[in-house]
Amino acid sequence: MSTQDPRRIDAALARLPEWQPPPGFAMRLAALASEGAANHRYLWLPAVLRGGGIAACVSVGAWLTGELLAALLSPVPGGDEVLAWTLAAGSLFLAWHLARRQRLFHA
Amino acid sequence: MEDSDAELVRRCLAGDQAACARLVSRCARMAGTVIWRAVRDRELVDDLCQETFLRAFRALGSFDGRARLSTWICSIAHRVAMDELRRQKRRPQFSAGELRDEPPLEEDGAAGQLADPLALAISDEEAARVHAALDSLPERYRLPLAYAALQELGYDDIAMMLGIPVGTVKTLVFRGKALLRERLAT
Repeated sequence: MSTQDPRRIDAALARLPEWQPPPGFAMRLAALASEGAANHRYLWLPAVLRGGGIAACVSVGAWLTGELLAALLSPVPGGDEVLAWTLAAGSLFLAWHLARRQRLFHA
Repeated sequence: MEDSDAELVRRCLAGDQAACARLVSRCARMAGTVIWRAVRDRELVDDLCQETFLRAFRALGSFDGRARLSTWICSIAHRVAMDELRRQKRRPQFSAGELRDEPPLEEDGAAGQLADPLALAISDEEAARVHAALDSLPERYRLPLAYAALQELGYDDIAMMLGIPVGTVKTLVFRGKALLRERLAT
């Protein structure tokens, strides 16, 4: 049988090395986790700061874009309504995208 | 007797340090192996595995029991490994979105579980050749194949870790093996 035999490939893959935790790894991490739990009430702080930063950027961006579009669309009938909806949708999309990129909601 | 996942999580959240240690003992080997197979650098595994469990403990309150605890932690381990690869600018060549586009495999061509490793004795040299060929595969095939070789991880676990459908995982494993055979033939 050659190395191209599917069963031999499976057997070789099953022999890929596996990591073994060093001695004391679990106890050390448990202690770190307990320390972290003691500071648990402050864990929301970085997320709030990052979220605040994102919100500020989005607001300024939306305001500047709004000013620009308002100047361009002012002669168009119904332009204000289109502008308002576009800005609202754009801001929501941008905030969602930035929050996702920043992994605010993931472990 | 072993605690159930829910009981273990409840005790960890209550601040039981022994329960936290038991959780780490139960899942560390799998999480570390997932990281090792993703980043392929043994030196990084200890730190990244530690980072995985610290993230897991921080997010433990959001564990809803829909997946096994070990699968949930392996998903975090995979994300930690991907973050590391991004940090190193060795960006993986696929994203979950890309993988979703993989066309489905015909039903009778579905990849089977890997064969029983004990059924065949192969030489170290032969195994090393296969491992080297695996390393040369594109990430989109290498990772599902390397994860599927872990006995404890089923296709549904890998699907959850990679954020893609189970059928796509089967397809990638099947095509990865075919590619591996091609590389070994040359």
